[in-house]
Amino acid sequence: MKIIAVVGTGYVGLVTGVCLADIGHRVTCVDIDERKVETMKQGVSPIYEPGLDDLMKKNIENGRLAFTTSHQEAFADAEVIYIAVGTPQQEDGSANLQFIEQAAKDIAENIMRDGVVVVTKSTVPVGTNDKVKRWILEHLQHDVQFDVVSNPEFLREGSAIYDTFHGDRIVIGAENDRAANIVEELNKPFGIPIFKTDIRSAEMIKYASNAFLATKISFINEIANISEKLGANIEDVAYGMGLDSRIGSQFLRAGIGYGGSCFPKDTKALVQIAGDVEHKFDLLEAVINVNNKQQARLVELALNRFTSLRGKKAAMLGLAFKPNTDDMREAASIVMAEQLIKEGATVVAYDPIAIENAKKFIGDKIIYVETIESALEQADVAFIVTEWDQIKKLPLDTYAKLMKEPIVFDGRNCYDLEEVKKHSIEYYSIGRPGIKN
Amino acid sequence: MNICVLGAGYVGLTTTAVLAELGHDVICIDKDPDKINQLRQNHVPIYEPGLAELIKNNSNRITFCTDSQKGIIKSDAIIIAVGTPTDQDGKPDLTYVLSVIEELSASIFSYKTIITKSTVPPGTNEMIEQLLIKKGVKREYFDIVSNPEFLREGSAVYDMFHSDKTVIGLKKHDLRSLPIMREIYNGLEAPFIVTSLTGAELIKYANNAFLATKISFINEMSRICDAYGVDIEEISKGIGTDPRIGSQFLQAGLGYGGSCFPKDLQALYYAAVSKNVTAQILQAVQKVNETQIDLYLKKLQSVMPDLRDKKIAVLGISFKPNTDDTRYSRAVALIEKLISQGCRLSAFDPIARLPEHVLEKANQAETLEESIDQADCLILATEWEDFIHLDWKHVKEKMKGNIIVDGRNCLEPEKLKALGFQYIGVGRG
Repeated sequence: MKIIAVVGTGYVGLVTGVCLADIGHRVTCVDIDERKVETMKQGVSPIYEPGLDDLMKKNIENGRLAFTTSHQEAFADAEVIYIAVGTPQQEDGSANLQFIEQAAKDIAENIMRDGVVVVTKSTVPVGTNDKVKRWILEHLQHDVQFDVVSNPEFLREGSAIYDTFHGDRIVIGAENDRAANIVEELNKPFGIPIFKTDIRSAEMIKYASNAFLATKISFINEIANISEKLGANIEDVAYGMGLDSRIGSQFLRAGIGYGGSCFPKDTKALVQIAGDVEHKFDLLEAVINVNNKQQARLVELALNRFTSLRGKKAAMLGLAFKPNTDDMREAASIVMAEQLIKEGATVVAYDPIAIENAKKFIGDKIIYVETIESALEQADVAFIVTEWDQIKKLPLDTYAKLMKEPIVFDGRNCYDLEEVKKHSIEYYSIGRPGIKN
Repeated sequence: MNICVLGAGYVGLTTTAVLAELGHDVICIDKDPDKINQLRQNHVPIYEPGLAELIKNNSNRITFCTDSQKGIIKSDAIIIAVGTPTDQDGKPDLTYVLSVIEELSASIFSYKTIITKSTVPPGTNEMIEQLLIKKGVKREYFDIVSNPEFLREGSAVYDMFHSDKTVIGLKKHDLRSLPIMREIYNGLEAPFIVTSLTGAELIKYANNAFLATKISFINEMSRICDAYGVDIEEISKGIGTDPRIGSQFLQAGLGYGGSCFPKDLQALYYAAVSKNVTAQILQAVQKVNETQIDLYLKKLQSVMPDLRDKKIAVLGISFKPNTDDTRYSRAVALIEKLISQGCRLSAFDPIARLPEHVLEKANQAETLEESIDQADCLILATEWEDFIHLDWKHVKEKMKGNIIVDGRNCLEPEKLKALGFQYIGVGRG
C-alpha cells in the first residue's frame, strides 16, 4: 500500500486516482475547484465515464479515496504524487504546460519527506519531465530528495476504467531503478505487462502510439475514398487487411475521421515536436489533412446528391466525437453543423448524452431534440455522425417511415449493405457503393 | 483438378508446387525455354526455401511446358501468375497480362475458371473479362476470379500453407467459381474472404501499402528520435505491445524495397490519381522511403566528409535476408549513391549478385573477408543472420577505418563502441 496524491481531476486524474484506490492504495485527489471537490466527495463524478461513480463511492466508503483543495493536505504524507493536469493545445499545435508547471511548484512547496516519486500521467512533449524536475528543484521548500517518472496514460474515454484494468502495457520511464521499481510495484495489482524505459522514450511512446493509431484511421479513410471511386467495398478491404496479424483489424474502420481530446491534439503536438527540431513530419501532416477533409466528407456527398440543401431539414444523429462519451472536442458534428448551416439547411440534432456539451461548441444555430424519432420526423436528409448503439440498431424502416424522403448519409458505416438493399431507402456511406432502391 | 499455371516466377512456381502437393495435376507454363528446361531437370532457377524439394516430391503431378495452348486446353482452371512490373511513371506494365489474354482467347473451347494471382491494378480483372469477350471467347465458357497472392519471398512456400486469408474476388452473379476455388484450395486452412473483383485487387494493394506505411512511420519517428536523443528501438517496443499497432514492421532502417512494396504503392497511388483522389498518405510514405538513404549518407558524411576513393564494404545486396532478389533493393540504391560520390565499393551477399549496371562500377566480393579488407567503412545494408553475429573484433582488425553504418539497426551499438568502432544507426539515442 502506498500513500498517493493525484493532482488534477479531469478524466485522466480522476480515473487514475479512483483505480489506484481500488487496488488498495490510499489516494487523495487534489483540485483547486472547491465546488468540484465537494461534488466528488459525495461520490459524484463531474465527468461521464461508465462505472466511475460506483467505483468512487465504493472507495470513498472504505476510506481509501479522499478529495481536497489543499495541496498541503494532499502532499504532506504522499510517497507518490501523480500529475494528471490538462495540457491544452496552443495555437501552433504545441502543448501548453502552464498547469504542469503550476503543479510542479505546488509539489515543490509542500513535499516534506525524502524519496517522493513524482509521476507525470499527462501527455507531455519530450523533455517535459526534465522540466518538471527543474521546476520542482527551483521551488523546493524543504531539503528533500525526489525523483520524476513518466508514466503516460493510454485510456480511452468511455472505457477508461476498463482500460486501466485491462491495458496492454504500463510504460514507466524513469531516471533510476529506485523510482522505476516503486512505480512498478504499486502498479503490479493491475496485472498488466510493464515496460520500463528511460523518461524521454516514455514521453515519445505516448505520442507515437496515438500518432500511429491516427495514421491507421486516416490510412483506411484514404483507401475508402479510393475504394468508393473504384466501386469496391471498404468493409471487405479492411476486413481482408485486418486478418494480417502485422496489421490487425482494430482502427481500420472507415468513417468521417477521428476526433476527441487526444488524437487531434497529440498528432498536432507531434508535428510541432518534430518541427522544433526542423523536421517536417510529412506522413503525420498527411494524416491530419486526410482527417480534416474526412470530417467534411459526408456533407460533401450530400451536396453531390442534392443540388442544394437550402431549406432542407437535416437530421444529425449523434454529436459526441464517439459513442459512450459526452465529449465534443474536435467532433465531426461541429464541422458538419457549420457546413449544413452555411448551405442553408435547418439542422435538428439528437444525441443521448452530449447535447449539453454540444451547445457549448455549436451553440443555438441548430435545434436539439431528445429522441431519434423527433430528429427524423419529416426530415429531408439524415446524417449518421456517431455510432451510438441506439443509432446503429435503429431499424432501417424508421427512416422510411418518418422522413419526408428517406435519404441517409452514414458517416460510420453502421448498416450492412445487403440489409439496406431490403428497404426502400437511399443510402450513402463511406468507401462503399451508394444504394438507391 | 487439372490446373494450368501461367508464369514460372516465384509466385507461379510456389503456386504450382503447393497445388500439386494438395493433389492437383498442374501444368506450369513459361515462355522461357531455358527456364522450362532447367525446371524439367529438377533445377529451380530461384532461391526459395523448400520450393525445390516440394517440386521434386510432386514431380509426378507437375508438368513444365512452354506451350500455353496445350496447358490451357487440358485444364479446368487457369491461374495467371505472370509478372506485372511498373513502367517509368510508376504505372503498372500489363504487357505480360495482355499476352496471356491473347493466348487464352485462342485456346478456350470449353468452360474454364480463370484465376488472376498476379498483383494487378484495380479494374484489371474487369478489363480481362471484357477483353476476352471482345476477342471472341464465349461468355459461358469462362468465369474470372481475382485471387491475389500474399507470399513473401524467402518464405513463400510456408506462407502459402499458412496464409491468414484467401481472398476471392468474384463477379456479382458468378455462382460457379466459389465451389471451384474451395476445391482448388481444399486442404488449406485460411479463411475465404469473398468480395468483388475490384475489392480483391484493392485488398492486396491496401495490405502492402499499410505495411509500407508502418515502415515509413517508424523511419520518420527515428529522425525525430535522433534529434531528441531518444532510442527508436524503445519506441518500437513501447508502441508495438499495443495489439492495435503490433510489433512487426516497426524496424527503423534504410526503408522498404523488393518487388512488391515500392511497385504496389506506386500502382495504388496511380490508381487513386487516375480517379482524381489525392492519396496524401501514400505520397508521404513513398517520400519518406525515398529520402531515407540520403539520411544515412548525410550521417556518414558527418564523420567522413570526403567520400572520394574511400573503400566502403557493403554487407547485403538483396532487398531483404533469405532471398536473392535485388529488385528495388535499398542496398543496391545505396551502393549506386555511394558510387556517384566516388567511393570504391565492395559488396558481399551470401547469395544475391549485384545487378549488371552496378557491377561495372562496384566489386562483388566473393567472400566477406574480401569485402571488409582494408575498408574505411562498413555498411550493413541487409540484415542477414550471419552479418548480425560477425566476429566484430576480427572485422575491426581487417578494416582500415572504424566506421560502421548499421542500415537496419540490428547491431549492438555499445558492444561495437567498446571495440573501438564508430557506430551510426538511426534514432539510436
